[in-house]
Amino acid sequence: MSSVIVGQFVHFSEWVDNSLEFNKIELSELLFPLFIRTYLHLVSDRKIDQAKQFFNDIGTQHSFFTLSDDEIARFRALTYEQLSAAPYDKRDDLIYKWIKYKYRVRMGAPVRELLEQKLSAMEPAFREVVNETVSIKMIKQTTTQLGRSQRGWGRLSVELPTVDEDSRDTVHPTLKDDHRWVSNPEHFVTCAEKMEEVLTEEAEEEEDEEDDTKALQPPRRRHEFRAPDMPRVRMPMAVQERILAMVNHADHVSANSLPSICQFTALNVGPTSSMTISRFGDLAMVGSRRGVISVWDLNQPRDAAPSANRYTLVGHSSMVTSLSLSADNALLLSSDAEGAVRMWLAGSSESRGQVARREGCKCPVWSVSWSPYGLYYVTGSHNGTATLWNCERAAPCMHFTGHLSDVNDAIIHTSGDIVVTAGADATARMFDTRVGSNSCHLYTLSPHTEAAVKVRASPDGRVLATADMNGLVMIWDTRMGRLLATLNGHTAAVKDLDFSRSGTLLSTVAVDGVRLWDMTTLRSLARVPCTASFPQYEPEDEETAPALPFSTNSVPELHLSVYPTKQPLLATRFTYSDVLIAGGVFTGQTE
Amino acid sequence: MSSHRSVALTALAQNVSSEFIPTELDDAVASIMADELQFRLANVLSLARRFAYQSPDNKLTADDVNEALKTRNMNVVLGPSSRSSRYRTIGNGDTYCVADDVVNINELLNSDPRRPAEPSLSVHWLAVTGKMPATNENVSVEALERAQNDIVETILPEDFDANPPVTQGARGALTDAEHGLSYILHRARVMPQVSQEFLHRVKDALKPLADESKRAEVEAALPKLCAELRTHRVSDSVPFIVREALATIMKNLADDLFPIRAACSLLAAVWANSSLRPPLESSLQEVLPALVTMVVTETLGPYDPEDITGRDVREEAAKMLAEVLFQYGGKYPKMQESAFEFVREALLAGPRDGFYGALLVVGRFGESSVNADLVPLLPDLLDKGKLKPCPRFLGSKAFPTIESTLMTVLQRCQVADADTRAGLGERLSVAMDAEML
Repeated sequence: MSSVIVGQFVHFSEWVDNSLEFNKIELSELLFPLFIRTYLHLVSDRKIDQAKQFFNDIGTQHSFFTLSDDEIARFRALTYEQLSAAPYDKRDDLIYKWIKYKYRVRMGAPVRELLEQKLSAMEPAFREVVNETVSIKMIKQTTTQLGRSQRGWGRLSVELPTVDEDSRDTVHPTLKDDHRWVSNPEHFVTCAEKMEEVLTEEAEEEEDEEDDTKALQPPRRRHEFRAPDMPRVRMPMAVQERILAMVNHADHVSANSLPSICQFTALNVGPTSSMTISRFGDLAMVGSRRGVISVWDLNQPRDAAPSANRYTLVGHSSMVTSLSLSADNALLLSSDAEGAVRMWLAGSSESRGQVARREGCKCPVWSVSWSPYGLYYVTGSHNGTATLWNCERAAPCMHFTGHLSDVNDAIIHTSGDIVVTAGADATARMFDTRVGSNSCHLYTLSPHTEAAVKVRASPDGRVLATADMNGLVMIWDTRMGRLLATLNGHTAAVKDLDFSRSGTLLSTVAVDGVRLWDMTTLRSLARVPCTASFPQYEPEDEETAPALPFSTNSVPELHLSVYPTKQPLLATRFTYSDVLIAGGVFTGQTE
Repeated sequence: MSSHRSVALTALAQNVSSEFIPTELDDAVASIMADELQFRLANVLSLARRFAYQSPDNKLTADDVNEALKTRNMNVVLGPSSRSSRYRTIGNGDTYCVADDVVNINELLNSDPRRPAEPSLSVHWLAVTGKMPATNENVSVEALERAQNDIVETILPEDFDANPPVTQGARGALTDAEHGLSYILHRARVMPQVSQEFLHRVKDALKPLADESKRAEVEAALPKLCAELRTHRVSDSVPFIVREALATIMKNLADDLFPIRAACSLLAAVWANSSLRPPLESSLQEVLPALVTMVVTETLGPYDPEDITGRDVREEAAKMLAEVLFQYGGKYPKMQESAFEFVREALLAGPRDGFYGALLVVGRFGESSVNADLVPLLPDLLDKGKLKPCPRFLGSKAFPTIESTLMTVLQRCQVADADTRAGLGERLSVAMDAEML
């Protein structure tokens, strides 16, 4: 049995290592106690040699030795006789504490759900080890937002200076019975149930603790869906304040209060292939077919010379196919037709230039898109795959396959856990980034009749919008993968689309201008708020889903307005203050 | 199914025949190759179409096909391009190259190189709280209405009546009571921001009007303002700006001739700018009567002790009137005719206030006009004794005598010959003297 546990532990540690950094920081807290407990299992099975090898190899590999040298020596010298000796006061205090008490780990709800999902697919014996080793406390915030010193976690649940038989009543109720190293499958309860039990009791214990009482919510048995409470990775404070200032001064836009639209038109930039605009509305970036990116910084004084507020980023050797600006305006990603993805310092006027170059394939990368919270970005390429990258790593994190043709667009969902792609095979697909294997495919959204070219998620994550070459825009329920409406209006391929900050409006641009669509009704039809995790598609959900009040083929009520333009448009973006910006180029003059 | 494709392939092979490619393909080979060729062509074209999507207008160009071929690791040695499509043959006629122009090196060195246009970013409001301003940057209202109509046709239910009982509601709302639908044509006339800023600056320049000591500054500021660069960006709003500025002038002052002089100065400054002048054409119906009135009117506002006849104003207005008629007289002959009727009447009315203005206008029109309109009238005026100087003007600096004014006009335009001029002058002097006596 212990060898099974060892194998499962190795598998689990690999899974943690390969998980995204959002989850990894919290998951890695589990490895050290599980490592110790696995070692103790080996010793209790009298596999001393294997235990020592495991202790040395895995401990060194993962740098688990946060223990003092004396403690390490005591663990290494541990024998079966010491472990099974009775009474307890004859045992080593250190070993006794590791056997009898749980290791406290603080964990956010999304990560805990992910852990549950993973453990449910693992061996029962390992789940038992997790149950008996770790006590998880749920928090609203993720631990990445707390300083390690503030947490005070990562220690055994109870400190016992002296151990005697009487004191056993004070230990955790779930551990009152004599501990049995061999797990009993009959007594196995699901991880969620066990955790619920533990957490409820811990909540009672810590009622008088000051701050985290409200955060102690009993875990749900089934997957619950919620919007992300806070960004998992915080932006710099100055950027946050700037965003808040814009948001506070924003007018509420809706179907009854349409937004103001500002059009940016780039002149004399030659053949253009891509464009993007910052959420602050102060940066406009145009990528050309020759590989040059022109950036306009509108923060410069208006009476400044025309060349003072413009600079170019040179590096690509072929057509710039896509541009994506991070939410804090600091980093620009660009992709080209030869498969290169480049990262630039764009927002700062002091230091501009390329900071990284990634090359995943030798074919055109049609799309590059930042994660809503930074750090990760996803690319969609001609070879039919989408790739998830960490900007701190040279190698890609994950590949998402399934499309039968080019991946024209790929984004990371608002929750940060889902990658949504639009493909030339007239489908859009959703992938779970947390699974990290080939089984991560969630839904295929397929009623398009032409190549899907763009996909966007609403800020609250409820609905997805996909657009195709025919100009059709389709709105999807993110939770169920159900088509909610087809928006018919554009007569040419949709170039870009974006949701307003509140998610009540959708803006689409094409050659024939800007169109605004009302999303209020559709958001209410989407059954659940933004998801942190997705179950597999369940047909019964469709039966219980609320009926749509209109045919999904055509929903004229949703069309609000159209604004034809003299020049074709390439990009649209709602700023943080909900002003809509449409970006285009003047095509009347050629080089 | 592939038979016609193989036939096409055979024909293609014949067209590109050379020593390396057989002129005629075997049917079996063509049949096999046809499928393969079709697959490859479809493959390349689908990729080219994706490249075309990257362009703003979605048009498939030769460059897109070339990009697709490059992606497929097929070098484009020779082929059409979006930039150059001229080729010539060299050698034995089997080698092609781009037909570049042969340029003389001396001409090239001495030529003024074409300066590349500076990339720039233009920013304008496509909509203000949902309504599209009727500015030059946006599409016209007519196109907007057409687009709105297109939408109505596109999104309405299938059983929708093509000619519904639509009623025009308030604020441009179209209501279809039968289907309970309401459409609002989102349009509003909003002046562009650049024009708004320009108007503010004009108004700022007109602020010191009330202070008499600063009037010279105003008169100097307006031409300077209108002579600035980039005024073409406000050209669409010129009539409105002029109207607003004139309203400001009239609002600030009403007691002397200076408002009219300031207005003249403004109009002259606008007129002098070639970017601002064309928009005035649409307002000629308003501008021209005002100018004619200023020239030939008997009473030109309150009297200025320094300029009792308002000569400066009349001179300025006459200058502008002449320029307007020169510019648009050929295009609007009736306009010129009607303006001259007033001038002629003023001349025939005798030496009153308007007479002097009319003289100035005629003088501004040059020799032909003086010969045609003024000279024939002079003997008649002299004979009938109409050329009596207005007692009010005697001793005036502006119009000392009719004689001197007429002589100025005649000399300026070099009317007739010296003898005629001398004769007329002599007769004028006699008439004046007799009248004075």
